[in-house]
Amino acid sequence: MTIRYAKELPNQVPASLAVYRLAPPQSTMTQAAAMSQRFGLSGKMREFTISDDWTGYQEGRIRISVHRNSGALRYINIDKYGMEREKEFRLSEQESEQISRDFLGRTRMYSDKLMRLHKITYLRSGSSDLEGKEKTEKLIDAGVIYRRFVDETPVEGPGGYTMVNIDPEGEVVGFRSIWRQTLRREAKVKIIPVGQVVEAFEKLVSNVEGDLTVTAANFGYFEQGELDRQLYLEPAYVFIYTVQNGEVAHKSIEVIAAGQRVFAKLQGKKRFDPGKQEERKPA
Amino acid sequence: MASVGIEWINNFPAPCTQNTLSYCDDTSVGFLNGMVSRGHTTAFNWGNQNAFETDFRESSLGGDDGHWVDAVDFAHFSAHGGTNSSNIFQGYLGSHNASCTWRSDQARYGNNFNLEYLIIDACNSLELTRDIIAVWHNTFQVLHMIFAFTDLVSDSWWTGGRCYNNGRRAGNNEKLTDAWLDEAYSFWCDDNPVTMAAGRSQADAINRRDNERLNSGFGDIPHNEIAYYAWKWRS
Repeated sequence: MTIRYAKELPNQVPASLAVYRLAPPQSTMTQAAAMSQRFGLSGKMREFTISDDWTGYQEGRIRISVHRNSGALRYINIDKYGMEREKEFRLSEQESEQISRDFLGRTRMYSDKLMRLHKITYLRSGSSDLEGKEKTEKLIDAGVIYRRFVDETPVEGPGGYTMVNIDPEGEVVGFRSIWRQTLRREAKVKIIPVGQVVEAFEKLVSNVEGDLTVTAANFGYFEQGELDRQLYLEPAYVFIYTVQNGEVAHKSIEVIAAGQRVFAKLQGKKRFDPGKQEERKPA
Repeated sequence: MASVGIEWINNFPAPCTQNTLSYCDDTSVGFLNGMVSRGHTTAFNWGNQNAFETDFRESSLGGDDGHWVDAVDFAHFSAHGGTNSSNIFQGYLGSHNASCTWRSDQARYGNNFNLEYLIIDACNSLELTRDIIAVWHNTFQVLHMIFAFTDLVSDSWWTGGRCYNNGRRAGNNEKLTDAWLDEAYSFWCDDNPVTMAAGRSQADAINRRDNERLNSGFGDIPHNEIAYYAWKWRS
């Protein structure tokens, strides 16, 4: 196996960082209705949907959902979100950013100081006849993504972001975020040096066959995804890498705790039990 | 009520040797659990050495898809994958029951059987740098849609819940394309999901791609009446 670093960890990381205790998700019906007022709704309707993992509130054509484990939030215009229309999306990046910032500003959920523009993604449509003679491609929306920062440190992982979807008319038709609120500083931890972590990463991938390329190597606070409960926001190193082994390639991730004291596991058990596989005989 | 079949492979021992994956069971079983949680039914759950190439291959080409993948409404495959320069997708298996890979050019879904929706949670499975119509046209017999990825897709704990969310939403009669693109997209890992739908015309293909749900009543299109494809992705 060979390892190539297309991206490397930053040379400098802080000597220490605070670890934060996170607030519990705000996902009751009352809280979801109250949340809707941040999006300009009345919050007074009684159209809720409750499932084992989400609390949903609908008012007119807008649906707001809050995840019970993470507090992850979604807002969509159920008629317009993701729909291809006659008009193509043609707003500039500056216009998209302005619209998204205005929208987020109205919600008063995230301070400008705590988020930075990460990238603008696009929902794209393609179509073609069988021979490829009438091929079309167009943009449907912009998804403007902001990453979260805590104490000037970026938040890594599947959480710690918000995305605002803007349609060709410049209307916000979707929004999602995974952004757990901090409750208090729990402790301060010393940070494991970069060299030591690179060594740990290379040991973790030492059994991989093929040519390994590190495509992202980052340091920051680590926020989990939508499905997961998280009690502490603590620092981590993240490596995203691809492996080419003959004609087969794949992509994987390693997350290594950066604090010399760790408060919670950064990786849990598998979420779904596959059950016992009895040996199957070919027919 | 839809019937669901899943096949997933984490381990690839000789003679089908490949790097081990870790979360293909989580993505496939997650999808199944999401669907079942909304009242749909399990038809089969074959993992590792129990996932057979013949389950995917057309019966008239020597396979047995009529008893497995083509006998359900919704099938989910999670393992290594790749589309080569000859525009053939190969899904990698962990046991050599006839072959270590199933191939798109030997898959015919919906002909005399049942499959309407196929999810391929594998790398380069709707690879937009290839000719996706050449790869998949013959597979669309009465098949309605394929949900898959362009480029590489992450195998990791942190993104392993994507198919549970997708199954929950699909099973809840939400728009299938939104359920796939929303849940499988990851800007953090650069995972780029794609949906592809067949239609009798351009407008029909776009309408199905954007609006089809499990219970939306879009009818089957015989293979010889397919004139257009529409696809959608976020990147």
